[in-house]
Amino acid sequence: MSTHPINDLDELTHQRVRLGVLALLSKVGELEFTRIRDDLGTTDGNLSRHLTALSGAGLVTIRKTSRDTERSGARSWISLSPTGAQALRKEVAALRALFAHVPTEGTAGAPETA
Amino acid sequence: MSTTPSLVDDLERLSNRPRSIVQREYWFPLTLFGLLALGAAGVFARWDPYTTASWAWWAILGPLGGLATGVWFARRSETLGVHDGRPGFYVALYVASAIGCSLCGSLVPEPWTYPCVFGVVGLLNLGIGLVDRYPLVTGVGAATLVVSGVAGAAELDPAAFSVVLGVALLIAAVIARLIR
Repeated sequence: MSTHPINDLDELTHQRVRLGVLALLSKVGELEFTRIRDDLGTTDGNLSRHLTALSGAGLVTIRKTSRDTERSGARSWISLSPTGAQALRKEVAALRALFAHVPTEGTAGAPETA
Repeated sequence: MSTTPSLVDDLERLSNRPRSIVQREYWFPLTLFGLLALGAAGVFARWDPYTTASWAWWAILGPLGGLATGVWFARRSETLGVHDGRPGFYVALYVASAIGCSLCGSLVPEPWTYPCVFGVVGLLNLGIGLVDRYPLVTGVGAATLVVSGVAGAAELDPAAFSVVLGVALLIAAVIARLIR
Protein backbone atom coordinates (compact mmCIF):
# COMPACT_ATOMS: atom_id res chain seq x y z
CA MET A 1 0.00 0.00 0.00
CA SER A 2 1.43 3.41 -0.97
CA THR A 3 1.39 6.27 1.54
CA HIS A 4 0.98 9.96 0.81
CA PRO A 5 4.35 11.79 0.59
CA ILE A 6 3.34 14.03 3.48
CA ASN A 7 4.06 11.01 5.70
CA ASP A 8 7.70 11.08 4.55
CA LEU A 9 8.29 14.51 6.12
CA ASP A 10 10.40 14.12 9.24
CA GLU A 11 9.09 15.93 12.33
CA LEU A 12 12.62 16.60 13.54
CA THR A 13 14.04 18.11 10.34
CA HIS A 14 10.89 19.74 8.99
CA GLN A 15 10.82 22.51 11.59
CA ARG A 16 11.77 25.85 9.95
CA VAL A 17 14.92 26.69 11.93
CA ARG A 18 16.23 23.11 11.89
CA LEU A 19 15.69 22.77 8.15
CA GLY A 20 17.42 26.12 7.68
CA VAL A 21 20.40 24.98 9.77
CA LEU A 22 20.76 21.79 7.72
CA ALA A 23 20.50 23.73 4.44
CA LEU A 24 23.08 26.32 5.53
CA LEU A 25 25.54 23.61 6.55
CA SER A 26 25.07 21.48 3.44
CA LYS A 27 27.78 23.07 1.27
CA VAL A 28 30.41 24.14 3.80
CA GLY A 29 32.57 22.42 6.37
CA GLU A 30 31.58 24.37 9.48
CA LEU A 31 29.60 27.48 10.37
CA GLU A 32 29.96 29.53 13.51
CA PHE A 33 26.92 29.84 15.80
CA THR A 34 26.42 33.58 15.23
CA ARG A 35 26.70 33.15 11.45
CA ILE A 36 23.78 30.68 11.50
CA ARG A 37 21.82 32.86 13.91
CA ASP A 38 22.21 35.95 11.72
CA ASP A 39 21.51 34.12 8.45
CA LEU A 40 18.33 32.60 9.83
CA GLY A 41 17.26 35.75 11.68
CA THR A 42 16.65 33.95 14.94
CA THR A 43 17.77 34.39 18.55
CA ASP A 44 20.57 32.77 20.55
CA GLY A 45 18.15 30.86 22.77
CA ASN A 46 15.98 29.64 19.93
CA LEU A 47 18.93 28.47 17.86
CA SER A 48 20.52 26.77 20.89
CA ARG A 49 17.36 24.77 21.49
CA HIS A 50 17.17 23.60 17.91
CA LEU A 51 20.88 22.79 17.74
CA THR A 52 20.55 20.71 20.88
CA ALA A 53 17.76 18.74 19.22
CA LEU A 54 19.73 18.27 15.99
CA SER A 55 22.89 17.35 17.87
CA GLY A 56 20.99 14.90 20.07
CA ALA A 57 19.72 13.15 16.95
CA GLY A 58 23.25 13.01 15.53
CA LEU A 59 22.44 15.28 12.59
CA VAL A 60 24.99 17.97 13.45
CA THR A 61 28.26 18.12 15.36
CA ILE A 62 29.11 21.01 17.67
CA ARG A 63 32.74 21.93 18.26
CA LYS A 64 33.60 24.56 20.84
CA THR A 65 36.74 26.69 20.59
CA SER A 66 38.01 29.58 22.67
CA ARG A 67 39.10 32.89 21.25
CA ASP A 68 42.29 34.61 22.26
CA THR A 69 40.80 38.07 22.61
CA GLU A 70 39.54 39.17 25.99
CA ARG A 71 36.18 40.50 24.87
CA SER A 72 34.97 37.35 23.17
CA GLY A 73 34.31 34.05 24.80
CA ALA A 74 34.06 30.54 23.42
CA ARG A 75 32.81 30.05 19.87
CA SER A 76 30.76 27.12 18.66
CA TRP A 77 31.36 25.69 15.20
CA ILE A 78 28.59 23.54 13.77
CA SER A 79 28.99 20.95 11.03
CA LEU A 80 26.66 18.55 9.28
CA SER A 81 27.14 14.85 10.03
CA PRO A 82 26.69 12.22 7.29
CA THR A 83 23.39 11.32 8.96
CA GLY A 84 22.36 14.99 8.82
CA ALA A 85 23.25 15.23 5.12
CA GLN A 86 21.16 12.15 4.45
CA ALA A 87 18.26 13.55 6.49
CA LEU A 88 18.36 16.79 4.48
CA ARG A 89 18.33 14.90 1.18
CA LYS A 90 15.37 12.82 2.35
CA GLU A 91 13.49 15.93 3.49
CA VAL A 92 14.04 17.75 0.19
CA ALA A 93 12.99 14.63 -1.74
CA ALA A 94 9.86 14.37 0.42
CA LEU A 95 9.08 18.05 -0.20
CA ARG A 96 9.49 17.61 -3.96
CA ALA A 97 7.26 14.54 -3.91
CA LEU A 98 4.70 16.40 -1.84
CA PHE A 99 4.64 19.39 -4.15
CA ALA A 100 4.22 17.05 -7.11
CA HIS A 101 0.90 16.03 -5.52
CA VAL A 102 -0.47 19.54 -5.09
CA PRO A 103 -1.23 22.18 -7.73
CA THR A 104 1.44 24.89 -7.97
CA GLU A 105 0.63 28.59 -8.09
CA GLY A 106 -1.11 29.58 -11.32
CA THR A 107 -2.38 26.10 -12.10
CA ALA A 108 -4.84 25.65 -9.24
CA GLY A 109 -8.35 25.98 -10.62
CA ALA A 110 -7.07 27.31 -13.93
CA PRO A 111 -9.15 26.28 -16.92
CA GLU A 112 -7.41 24.08 -19.48
CA THR A 113 -6.56 25.77 -22.73
CA ALA A 114 -6.53 24.14 -26.14
CA MET B 1 9.11 27.55 -16.86
CA SER B 2 10.23 26.31 -13.47
CA THR B 3 7.85 24.06 -11.59
CA THR B 4 10.11 23.72 -8.53
CA PRO B 5 8.23 24.94 -5.48
CA SER B 6 9.62 28.10 -3.94
CA LEU B 7 10.35 26.39 -0.59
CA VAL B 8 12.84 24.05 -2.24
CA ASP B 9 14.30 26.99 -4.18
CA ASP B 10 14.64 28.90 -0.90
CA LEU B 11 16.53 25.97 0.63
CA GLU B 12 18.88 25.92 -2.35
CA ARG B 13 19.50 29.67 -2.00
CA LEU B 14 20.07 29.27 1.72
CA SER B 15 22.60 26.49 1.17
CA ASN B 16 24.60 28.71 -1.22
CA ARG B 17 24.64 31.69 1.16
CA PRO B 18 27.71 30.85 3.31
CA ARG B 19 29.83 30.18 0.22
CA SER B 20 28.74 33.43 -1.42
CA ILE B 21 29.73 35.33 1.74
CA VAL B 22 33.29 33.97 1.45
CA GLN B 23 33.36 34.57 -2.31
CA ARG B 24 33.02 38.31 -1.71
CA GLU B 25 36.52 38.17 -0.26
CA TYR B 26 38.07 37.35 -3.63
CA TRP B 27 38.59 41.06 -4.17
CA PHE B 28 41.82 40.82 -2.17
CA PRO B 29 43.78 38.29 -4.28
CA LEU B 30 42.43 39.86 -7.48
CA THR B 31 43.69 43.29 -6.37
CA LEU B 32 47.00 41.89 -5.11
CA PHE B 33 47.82 39.99 -8.29
CA GLY B 34 46.51 42.84 -10.45
CA LEU B 35 48.98 45.20 -8.77
CA LEU B 36 51.77 42.61 -9.04
CA ALA B 37 51.06 42.27 -12.78
CA LEU B 38 51.20 46.06 -13.24
CA GLY B 39 54.42 46.12 -11.20
CA ALA B 40 55.81 43.39 -13.45
CA ALA B 41 55.03 45.56 -16.48
CA GLY B 42 57.23 48.27 -14.96
CA VAL B 43 60.02 45.77 -14.32
CA PHE B 44 59.79 44.34 -17.85
CA ALA B 45 59.82 47.82 -19.36
CA ARG B 46 63.08 48.57 -17.59
CA TRP B 47 64.89 45.22 -17.81
CA ASP B 48 64.81 42.40 -20.31
CA PRO B 49 61.89 40.16 -19.23
CA TYR B 50 64.03 37.05 -19.62
CA THR B 51 66.84 38.04 -17.28
CA THR B 52 67.16 36.66 -13.75
CA ALA B 53 66.29 40.05 -12.27
CA SER B 54 62.95 40.08 -14.11
CA TRP B 55 62.22 36.45 -13.28
CA ALA B 56 62.83 37.19 -9.62
CA TRP B 57 59.77 39.47 -9.59
CA TRP B 58 57.34 36.62 -10.09
CA ALA B 59 59.53 33.87 -8.62
CA ILE B 60 59.54 35.67 -5.25
CA LEU B 61 56.35 37.71 -5.23
CA GLY B 62 54.15 35.07 -6.89
CA PRO B 63 54.48 32.46 -4.09
CA LEU B 64 54.34 35.22 -1.46
CA GLY B 65 51.10 36.46 -3.03
CA GLY B 66 49.71 32.93 -2.91
CA LEU B 67 50.69 32.65 0.74
CA ALA B 68 49.15 36.04 1.54
CA THR B 69 45.94 34.91 -0.19
CA GLY B 70 45.85 31.76 1.95
CA VAL B 71 46.36 33.77 5.14
CA TRP B 72 43.70 36.28 4.03
CA PHE B 73 41.06 33.62 3.47
CA ALA B 74 41.97 31.80 6.70
CA ARG B 75 41.53 35.00 8.74
CA ARG B 76 38.39 36.13 6.95
CA SER B 77 36.85 32.67 7.35
CA GLU B 78 37.34 32.95 11.11
CA THR B 79 35.83 36.44 11.22
CA LEU B 80 32.91 35.56 8.95
CA GLY B 81 32.24 32.29 10.77
CA VAL B 82 32.51 30.11 7.68
CA HIS B 83 34.95 27.21 7.29
CA ASP B 84 34.58 25.90 3.79
CA GLY B 85 36.16 22.57 4.70
CA ARG B 86 38.48 22.28 1.73
CA PRO B 87 41.88 23.66 2.80
CA GLY B 88 43.60 20.56 1.39
CA PHE B 89 42.10 21.25 -2.03
CA TYR B 90 43.46 24.79 -2.10
CA VAL B 91 46.91 23.75 -0.87
CA ALA B 92 47.05 21.05 -3.57
CA LEU B 93 46.05 23.58 -6.25
CA TYR B 94 48.65 26.04 -4.97
CA VAL B 95 51.47 23.46 -5.01
CA ALA B 96 50.42 22.18 -8.44
CA SER B 97 50.40 25.71 -9.89
CA ALA B 98 53.80 26.49 -8.32
CA ILE B 99 55.25 23.35 -9.94
CA GLY B 100 53.53 24.22 -13.24
CA CYS B 101 54.91 27.76 -13.24
CA SER B 102 58.42 26.47 -12.45
CA LEU B 103 58.24 23.98 -15.32
CA CYS B 104 57.07 26.75 -17.68
CA GLY B 105 59.99 28.92 -16.59
CA SER B 106 62.61 26.24 -17.05
CA LEU B 107 61.34 24.21 -20.02
CA VAL B 108 59.22 26.45 -22.25
CA PRO B 109 61.16 28.68 -24.69
CA GLU B 110 60.44 32.31 -25.61
CA PRO B 111 57.96 33.77 -26.52
CA TRP B 112 55.76 31.21 -24.79
CA THR B 113 57.46 31.31 -21.38
CA TYR B 114 55.31 34.02 -19.77
CA PRO B 115 52.09 32.98 -21.52
CA CYS B 116 52.72 29.46 -20.20
CA VAL B 117 53.17 30.75 -16.62
CA PHE B 118 50.00 32.83 -16.80
CA GLY B 119 48.20 30.00 -18.54
CA VAL B 120 48.89 27.86 -15.47
CA VAL B 121 47.58 30.64 -13.22
CA GLY B 122 44.53 30.88 -15.47
CA LEU B 123 43.94 27.15 -15.09
CA LEU B 124 44.25 27.54 -11.32
CA ASN B 125 41.56 30.23 -11.29
CA LEU B 126 39.39 28.24 -13.67
CA GLY B 127 39.61 25.24 -11.32
CA ILE B 128 38.76 27.28 -8.23
CA GLY B 129 35.92 29.08 -10.01
CA LEU B 130 34.35 25.85 -11.27
CA VAL B 131 34.65 24.03 -7.94
CA ASP B 132 33.36 27.05 -6.01
CA ARG B 133 30.72 27.79 -8.66
CA TYR B 134 31.85 31.39 -8.78
CA PRO B 135 31.34 32.79 -12.31
CA LEU B 136 33.61 35.80 -11.73
CA VAL B 137 36.70 33.70 -10.91
CA THR B 138 35.79 31.17 -13.61
CA GLY B 139 35.63 34.08 -16.07
CA VAL B 140 38.96 35.48 -14.87
CA GLY B 141 40.56 32.05 -15.32
CA ALA B 142 39.11 31.54 -18.79
CA ALA B 143 40.04 35.09 -19.87
CA THR B 144 43.60 34.64 -18.56
CA LEU B 145 43.94 31.42 -20.55
CA VAL B 146 42.67 33.08 -23.74
CA VAL B 147 44.84 36.19 -23.32
CA SER B 148 47.87 33.97 -22.60
CA GLY B 149 47.25 32.01 -25.78
CA VAL B 150 46.83 35.16 -27.87
CA ALA B 151 49.91 36.76 -26.28
CA GLY B 152 52.02 33.69 -27.09
CA ALA B 153 50.76 33.36 -30.65
CA ALA B 154 51.12 37.08 -31.37
CA GLU B 155 54.48 37.22 -29.57
CA LEU B 156 53.14 40.07 -27.48
CA ASP B 157 55.67 41.95 -25.40
CA PRO B 158 55.57 40.63 -21.78
CA ALA B 159 55.25 44.22 -20.49
CA ALA B 160 52.13 44.85 -22.59
CA PHE B 161 50.79 41.43 -21.64
CA SER B 162 51.28 42.26 -17.96
CA VAL B 163 49.42 45.56 -18.32
CA VAL B 164 46.43 43.82 -19.95
CA LEU B 165 46.42 41.16 -17.24
CA GLY B 166 46.85 43.66 -14.40
CA VAL B 167 44.03 45.91 -15.58
CA ALA B 168 41.74 42.91 -16.13
CA LEU B 169 42.41 41.62 -12.61
CA LEU B 170 41.79 45.05 -11.05
CA ILE B 171 38.49 45.38 -12.94
CA ALA B 172 37.51 41.91 -11.70
CA ALA B 173 38.46 42.97 -8.16
CA VAL B 174 36.16 46.00 -8.36
CA ILE B 175 33.32 43.78 -9.63
CA ALA B 176 33.95 41.28 -6.81
CA ARG B 177 33.81 44.12 -4.29
CA LEU B 178 30.59 45.56 -5.74
CA ILE B 179 28.67 42.26 -5.99
CA ARG B 180 26.45 41.80 -2.95
